[in-house]
Amino acid sequence: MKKLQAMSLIALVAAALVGWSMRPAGEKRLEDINLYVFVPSKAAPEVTVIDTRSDRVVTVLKLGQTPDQVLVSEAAHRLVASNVSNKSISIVNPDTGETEKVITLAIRPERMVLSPDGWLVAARDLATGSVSVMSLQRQSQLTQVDGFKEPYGLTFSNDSLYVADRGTGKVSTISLVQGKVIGQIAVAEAARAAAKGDRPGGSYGISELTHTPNGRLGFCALRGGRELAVIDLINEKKIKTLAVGWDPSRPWGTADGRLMMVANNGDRTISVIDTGALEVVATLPGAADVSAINTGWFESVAFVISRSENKAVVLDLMKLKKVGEIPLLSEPGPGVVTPDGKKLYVALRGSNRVAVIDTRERKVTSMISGVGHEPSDATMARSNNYCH
Amino acid sequence: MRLKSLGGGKSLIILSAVIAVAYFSVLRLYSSDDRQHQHGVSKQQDIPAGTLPGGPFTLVDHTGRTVTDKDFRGSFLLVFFGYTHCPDICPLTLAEVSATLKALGKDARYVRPLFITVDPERDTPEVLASYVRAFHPAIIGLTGTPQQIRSVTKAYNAYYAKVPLKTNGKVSQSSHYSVDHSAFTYLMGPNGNFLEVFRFGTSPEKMAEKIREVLKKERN
Repeated sequence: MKKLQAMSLIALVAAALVGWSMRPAGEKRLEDINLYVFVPSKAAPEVTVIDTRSDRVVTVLKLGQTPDQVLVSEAAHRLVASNVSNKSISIVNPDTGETEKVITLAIRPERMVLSPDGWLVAARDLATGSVSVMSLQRQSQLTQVDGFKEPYGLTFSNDSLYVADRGTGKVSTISLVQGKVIGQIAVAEAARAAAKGDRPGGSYGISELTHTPNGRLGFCALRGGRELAVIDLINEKKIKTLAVGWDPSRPWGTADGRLMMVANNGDRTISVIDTGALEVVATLPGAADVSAINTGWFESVAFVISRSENKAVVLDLMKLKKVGEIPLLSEPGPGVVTPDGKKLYVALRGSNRVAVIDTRERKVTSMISGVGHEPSDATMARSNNYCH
Repeated sequence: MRLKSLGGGKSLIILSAVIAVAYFSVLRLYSSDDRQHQHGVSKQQDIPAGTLPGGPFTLVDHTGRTVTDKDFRGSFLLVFFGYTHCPDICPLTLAEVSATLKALGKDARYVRPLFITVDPERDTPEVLASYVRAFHPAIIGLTGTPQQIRSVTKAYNAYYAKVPLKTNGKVSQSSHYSVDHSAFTYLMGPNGNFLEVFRFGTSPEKMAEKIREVLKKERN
């Protein structure tokens, strides 16, 4: 009996040791922030961190408030979390989970974007018609620009910030040096842009502007309509209008800049635009309520994530055809692709999991649980594998 | 109450088992990755997989000799696409490739780095020769006809596009252009098989570590 007792004690100690080594760490230095996926919860003040090498949860960062959106800056080695109701942005150290600074704003940061170099954050407030720009280096607001009607979309270039105003149908350019509007590009007539007709989901106005990685061309969809505007960003003028499907949401580009894709939520199609020829080269089957179009595996494949249809439509971008569908659990959010383009992570809000898709195999290879309460998004530090 | 009626040894065993089961259940909650057979994932369609980079090519090396992929059989290859007029990405990557070779020490003899130009108009064998030598004597510069370059980039799923540069909104000269291109570095095996891709900015230490790993596998 004593032998049995001793063995059971040894087993217990061994189990405890194994468990300790596998525990979700409270503090873990994330050496290379590019290797981690950050998953904010919608129903708890926390961000779950997944190691892309093992596809395991390595730590859970406890924040002071439930984040509405989280961005990851490689340059600053920090997370930026917004809190709309408190009108604040928190700067979080991902190694400790400590909130280093809370920047209080005069606006509600309903949506944030990060600059390409990772040092600036812009946020907008539709109701007040304002845009705020913050520095992660100074950990403070640099400027607030007012006077927009509905500053719906924000897009950084290297030295400016484009604001797509769906109330006026114009894209304004804010100089990051001067901190003021220095130019405007008419994309759609104001009346058409702002008209709220009988449209799917009540969408209207111009979408956010998506530019090619070299910053030369911009694409802006007229939501609720059937148009996509092509903008010469160097000379700040609209150069072409392309006919796309019904109710285009917004354009998504391949990382190499070769193609631009527009999800037409009205007719569940995807318009594929060749950015060299500036022509629609294919109209492929899509889905409704698209949350994102993610590309990977040397930009040879696109995954069209549909929130309401709980699936990813797989498009072969070399053959320009739909090759299949991947069923996902409930409410897939916008996904994120690893810097090497091999894996796609999709937060499944309704099932508290994150799906891992192998972009070459075009299959779900893993379902990660323990990713918090209502994971709304999966985000990584921005990467660049193309020279422009 | 039943626990009390058992002997001290038995209760300890049961208690230990209960604690162990409970502990592992909690662990699973925090860090499990449920594999394909669960949650309907196994019901996936049979979607054809993407192609692996690599394939046959015929190019001209920086000494002016015509070479094919078969000439490199038996060596591990580090393949990078770029051009000599590139202001940043290409010199940075070639410097990192050089540092990788240095980090590999004696194992570097099994690796042949190939720098394939995406600007065959300007990158002649002579231009490539002086360029690659500035980084490391082992780096081989490769050029070819525009068609040969198109073919090899297609085989590697590599992207490139010529971009005319403008002065005051006008294209000044036909030779005044840059080339947008992929910045991946491919690790190919001795049979020309794809092994790994390194994203731009991968440290020489990480590249050397991976190369050592595949060399070890090859030896076994």
